[in-house]
Amino acid sequence: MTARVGESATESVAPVLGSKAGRIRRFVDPIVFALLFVAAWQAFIWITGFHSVVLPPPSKVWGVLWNQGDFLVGNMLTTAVTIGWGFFLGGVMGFVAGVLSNHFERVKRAIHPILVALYVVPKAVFIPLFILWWGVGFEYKLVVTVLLAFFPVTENTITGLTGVEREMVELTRSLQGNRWFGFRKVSLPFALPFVLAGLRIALTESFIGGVLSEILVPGSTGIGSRIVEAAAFSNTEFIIASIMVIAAFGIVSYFLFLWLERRLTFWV
Amino acid sequence: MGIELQGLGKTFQTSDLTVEALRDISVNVSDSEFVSIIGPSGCGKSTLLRLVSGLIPPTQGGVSIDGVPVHGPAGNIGFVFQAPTLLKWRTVFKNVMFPYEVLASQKRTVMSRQEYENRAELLLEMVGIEDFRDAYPKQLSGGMQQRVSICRALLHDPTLLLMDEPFGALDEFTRERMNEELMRIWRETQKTVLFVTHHIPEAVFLSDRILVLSARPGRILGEIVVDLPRPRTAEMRDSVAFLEQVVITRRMIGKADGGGNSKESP
Repeated sequence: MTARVGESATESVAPVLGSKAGRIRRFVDPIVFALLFVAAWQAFIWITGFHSVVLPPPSKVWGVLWNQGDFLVGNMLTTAVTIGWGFFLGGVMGFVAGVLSNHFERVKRAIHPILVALYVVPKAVFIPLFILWWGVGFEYKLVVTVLLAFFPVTENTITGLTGVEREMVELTRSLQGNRWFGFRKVSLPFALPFVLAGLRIALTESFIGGVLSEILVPGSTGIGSRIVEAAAFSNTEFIIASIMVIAAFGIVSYFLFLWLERRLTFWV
Repeated sequence: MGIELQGLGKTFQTSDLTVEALRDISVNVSDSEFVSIIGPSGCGKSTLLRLVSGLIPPTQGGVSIDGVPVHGPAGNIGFVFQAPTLLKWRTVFKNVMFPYEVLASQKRTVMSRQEYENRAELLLEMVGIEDFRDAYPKQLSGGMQQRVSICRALLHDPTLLLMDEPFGALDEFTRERMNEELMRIWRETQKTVLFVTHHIPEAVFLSDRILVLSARPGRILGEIVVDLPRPRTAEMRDSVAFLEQVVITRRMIGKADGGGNSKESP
């Protein structure tokens, strides 16, 4: 018997944004909206006469970006080092903790209460303690970022690994496959989409960790510290320009990650 | 030779609960025989398959396959489950090759990789999906996925094929077509099959023998020898002889349902 064409579902639904016109629209729409937003912002200030210290016009923000762009990006790069390392270490540790607690019931039992406790407590409460322990330098910021990046990865790794079909595990066992084989060939690929989704959340958490840890320690390195200092001088245009730089870094890294995620888990 | 279940019993014990799933199951299945197991839900049909495959140990009695007692999984069994349980990140062909990889990881292959690959191609051809060898599971319909699953179960040329309600999730038309196809595969491969189902016409259509299990704890309530001629054809489903077999089976199951519930084990 041969397979009937009608039985298969191979025809893929053409994505709306896949066509050429769609691809252009994909970029045009957000740019047009951003320009409209800036125009409205400028118009709002003209009409209401808002004081420029409270809400600076876009032109002033642009001026900061133009004149001090190097300075802002330089500080952001310092912050990005914290974010990058925190994301990496937190991600690895979160993944390992997830795998261990899934594979060893005892590990799970032992660390689960602590994980939950750490999870429900707002992470910011640890900051004074960490400053006491590590000072206000890189180590302290790294620890804060790792702490924030850790949980979504652990949680999603456990969710992914526990979702593996029992039948698939039994099939592997019935052929005398060992646990390591089952982990590599069945559980890990099965959990991968979950782990990556956890990492994507961890990435945004890392941005929070990196910037927040700087905001609490003015005079330190990184863009967060520059923002608090600017606030002391009511330099709102500088603050808004800084936020834009952080946002740009965030958007680029987020979409890079999304792209990587889609390539790695093409079957989802 | 064949499969021998002797006084097989299984009791599951958790800290606060004791459930006797199966009691005193004794059956002999000869080589290339097709035996269905039918019974009310929760009668331990799936547990029986797990015992036979060695995935779980029995509490009483034992299983032997070709005279060799089963102590744990031996790698000589093909499994087909209710869900196709394919690996979504693998192509159809690589899914069928999965048993080879497991066996190779234990250095227990009996042929070269090339020979297994040839066999995979042949199996896909046999079920008519050779054109989809490089497709991914999500691109296939439920019936086609289950065919891939059957190919995977046959790749390592198992002594015994265990099928746990393999067509239970399919619509009636697809189920009937898959039944006919399974008959053809069975004729070509000459496998011994233990087939769990709760679909009476399906059991009658496929089997040499039907074992009727009682409600928990599952015991063999009776056995029906299906003496319909082979090969079985789609037209046969409308014959009086076929319908008679269905009625006989249904009556016996009716007894299973009524008798088993009155006396629960502690």
